[in-house]
Amino acid sequence: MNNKYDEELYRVAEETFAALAFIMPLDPEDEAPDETDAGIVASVAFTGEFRGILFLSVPAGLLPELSANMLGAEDGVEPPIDQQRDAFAEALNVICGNLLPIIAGTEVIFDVHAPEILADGRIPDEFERYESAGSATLIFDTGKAELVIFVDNKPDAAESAA
Amino acid sequence: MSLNILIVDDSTVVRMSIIRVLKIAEIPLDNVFQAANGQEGLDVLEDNWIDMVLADINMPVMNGEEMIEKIRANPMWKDMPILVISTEGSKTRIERLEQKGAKFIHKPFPPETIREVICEMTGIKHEQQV
Repeated sequence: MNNKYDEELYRVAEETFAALAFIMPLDPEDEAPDETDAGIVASVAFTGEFRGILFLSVPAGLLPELSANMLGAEDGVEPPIDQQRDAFAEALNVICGNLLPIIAGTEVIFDVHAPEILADGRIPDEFERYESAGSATLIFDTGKAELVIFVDNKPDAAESAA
Repeated sequence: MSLNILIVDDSTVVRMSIIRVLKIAEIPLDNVFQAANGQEGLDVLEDNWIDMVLADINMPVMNGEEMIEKIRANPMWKDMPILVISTEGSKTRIERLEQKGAKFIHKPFPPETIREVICEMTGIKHEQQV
């Protein structure tokens, strides 16, 4: 962990998965299990004092457990795909909402946009040329969840994004 | 006394999980209405008797803050109990909502918190206390 917001991102994500769905990551030092399924990626953009975007990718195998626990589904009952995706988007929304006051202070107002699930399952190539402001990897039984945040600190960022 | 509650949130899963929490918290419920944004919420209010509104802030079409302003501007609903359930972390915005007469619960939240706040806001007693 060496980016500006790595530790905050990890802590908020860990707390969010635990509080929303009783899912705890394995020890960060543990080796991630072999990933056998494709990942799913969502993004949530925010505007305000500064603007940015937070990405979350998880193994698709995490979604049934995440959504079932959020909904309190009975054991063995798997929520439909649309609810699994909705639960995933909400988890990202909660992570973003709880991260922003930690990195920007509680006096600042941000508009957190609706999370979007990315069709091609990967962070868009255009972000490769930017340096992230933070990243974190959480290891679950089903594989790795990865978060990365990009921030534009230009003073006119909020205006130009509006 | 049972409550007619309106839940306004753009996430189906969040609306479903709030209903689940209301049941876990043993809040006496009559009808639970759902809306996916502030405008839909106002439409439900127009057509139904609602005792309390539970709303998110960041939503498409009309956000929760604008919906609250419109509710307060209507004499029929000016005293409507409104509970905002959101990830909002800005004290500035939370204070602004509280000045409009809304209470605030931060997401994620434990069931007992929602029970305490709803009982306090509506004057109902928790079923186990009756």
